[in-house]
Amino acid sequence: MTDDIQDTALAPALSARGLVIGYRDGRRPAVEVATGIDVYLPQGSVTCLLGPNGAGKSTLLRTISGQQRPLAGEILVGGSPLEAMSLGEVARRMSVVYTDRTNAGALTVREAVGLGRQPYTGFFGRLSDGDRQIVDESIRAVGVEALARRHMATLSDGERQKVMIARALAQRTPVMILDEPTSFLDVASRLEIMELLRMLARDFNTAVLLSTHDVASALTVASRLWLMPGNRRLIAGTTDTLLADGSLPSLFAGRNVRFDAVAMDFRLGQ
Amino acid sequence: MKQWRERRVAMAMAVMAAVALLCAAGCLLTGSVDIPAADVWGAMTGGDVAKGTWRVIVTETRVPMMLTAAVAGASLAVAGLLLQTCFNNPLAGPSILGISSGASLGVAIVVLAFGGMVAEQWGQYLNVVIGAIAGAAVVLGLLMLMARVVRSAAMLLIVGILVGYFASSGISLLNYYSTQESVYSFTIWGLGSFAGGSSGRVLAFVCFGLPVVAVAMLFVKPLNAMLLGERYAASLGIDMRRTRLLLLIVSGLLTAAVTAFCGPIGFLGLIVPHISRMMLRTSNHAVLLPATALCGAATALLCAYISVAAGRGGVVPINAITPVIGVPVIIYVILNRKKLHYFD
Repeated sequence: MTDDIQDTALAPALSARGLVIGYRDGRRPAVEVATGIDVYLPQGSVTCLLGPNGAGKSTLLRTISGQQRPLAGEILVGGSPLEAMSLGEVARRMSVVYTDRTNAGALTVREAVGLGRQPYTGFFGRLSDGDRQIVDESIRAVGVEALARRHMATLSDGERQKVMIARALAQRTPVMILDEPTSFLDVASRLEIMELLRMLARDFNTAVLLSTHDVASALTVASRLWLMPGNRRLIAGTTDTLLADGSLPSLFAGRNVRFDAVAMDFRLGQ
Repeated sequence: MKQWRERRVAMAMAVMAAVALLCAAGCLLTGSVDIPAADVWGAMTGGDVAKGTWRVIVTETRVPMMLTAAVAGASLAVAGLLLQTCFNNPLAGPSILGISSGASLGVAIVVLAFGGMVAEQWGQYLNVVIGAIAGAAVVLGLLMLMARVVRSAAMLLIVGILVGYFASSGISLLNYYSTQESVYSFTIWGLGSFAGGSSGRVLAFVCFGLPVVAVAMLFVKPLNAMLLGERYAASLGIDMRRTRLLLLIVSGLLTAAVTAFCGPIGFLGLIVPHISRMMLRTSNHAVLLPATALCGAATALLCAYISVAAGRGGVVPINAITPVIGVPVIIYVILNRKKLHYFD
């Protein structure tokens, strides 16, 4: 199914055409994870990437964020091809949030958020007054002012994830990509972060793309969904469309789960 | 609160500088011959000295040793910090990654294969330096090749340790087939010493070491980004492959220079970055890197002072002293892994 790019008046923050993602390995033939991906990310809203484990969500996010080359197809960021961009240019257009372990425990929250300004700072990474203002603004927007002077190591997992989002926000990029930002978090932090992302997308006119296994909260914040059911295809569309046409309910086809339209979540049993 | 942090950094650096100055003074005033402080001062400033031999002792032995210790300490400490951040591993260091062993093997080949440690001749000394740099470069090259295949930093560390064993085995083999005098001079060199150099060679060492330490200061920005991990650093626009290569070259040059000049000095590169982080309570390289250089100089000067003070006229090998300071620090760091903020 192709994504109907025409329905938006705004130019998309990111789009991909005929994208084939997967792995190259010298002599052996390339392993295709998913093919024929035609998608875009609209400005100012949240898009959620859903699908079972192993469907290729992380591979797709790595490819779109420029960390891995596509096997075929083209990715446009702000209308320019991603392939032709320098690392610095990519860093000024896309920010990412992982759940990677960091060694930044002895940095203060403000210092860690300040690292988000690196694509704009000079050789020694010194922050200008303007940079500091953006850092403070990002800290406020995410609601971690009270933690600003704390060491990263003293934060809870949820707090740390918020700080990493503030850091991505300080990068002031049109696109923000998050790989399972709510995994390992308790329910309160999960809901807070999803709502936070929805507000950030709106207030900063950012195109937010996140992968998650939390279908219920994805449905409350995402205006659009990308579904990877694990058949090497990607189905994209508005949340309402994909609910109505049965694409979302059949995301786990063949597994012992069914979609509960009242709870807006999957339930065990047929 | 912000001022509090800045004050803590200023205090810590003041303590490091004070220790460095005290131990430097200790090195100048202590030795086989008792020289009054006024005469030491006179010898250094070109003023009056009661005995001519005192002037020679101060300018040709004590000052060179003090300078060697300061620059070697700063070099090893900075090399250790670069490696720890580069490999995202708090237990990385020039000796653990096998870089010191590689440099030693280079020196061993030069010394044992081409005759004894005739360090008094410039040509032979240059060979020793080239041998050390070549040895360190081979190990770094191997590490970099392995880094392409081995993605995990912990595995790479183990590879480094194994490479180190490999180099040691080469050294043992060379020792076995060498003359007794060569083995003796190589063994003495292997014990480590800041006291080996004439003033001319020390000057050469200082003129090489200090600029490379200064070059390391240029990496503050990528080093800070690397605290977030490789993928985050790349997403901030850092060319990780190039940056890692440059960092390994800088730390390799620092390690090779010190190893050629002082022998393979253990522990300093591993512990000093930890001492600095614990004192400053930050891993922001904008302050941590200069502080680590200063702290490295201070720690090495402390070791140098102990080596002359405990030597009763002679000089105790440095590698007999560094573990006494280093092992407790490392054990403390490991035991308090959870409490120390810079892990994680």
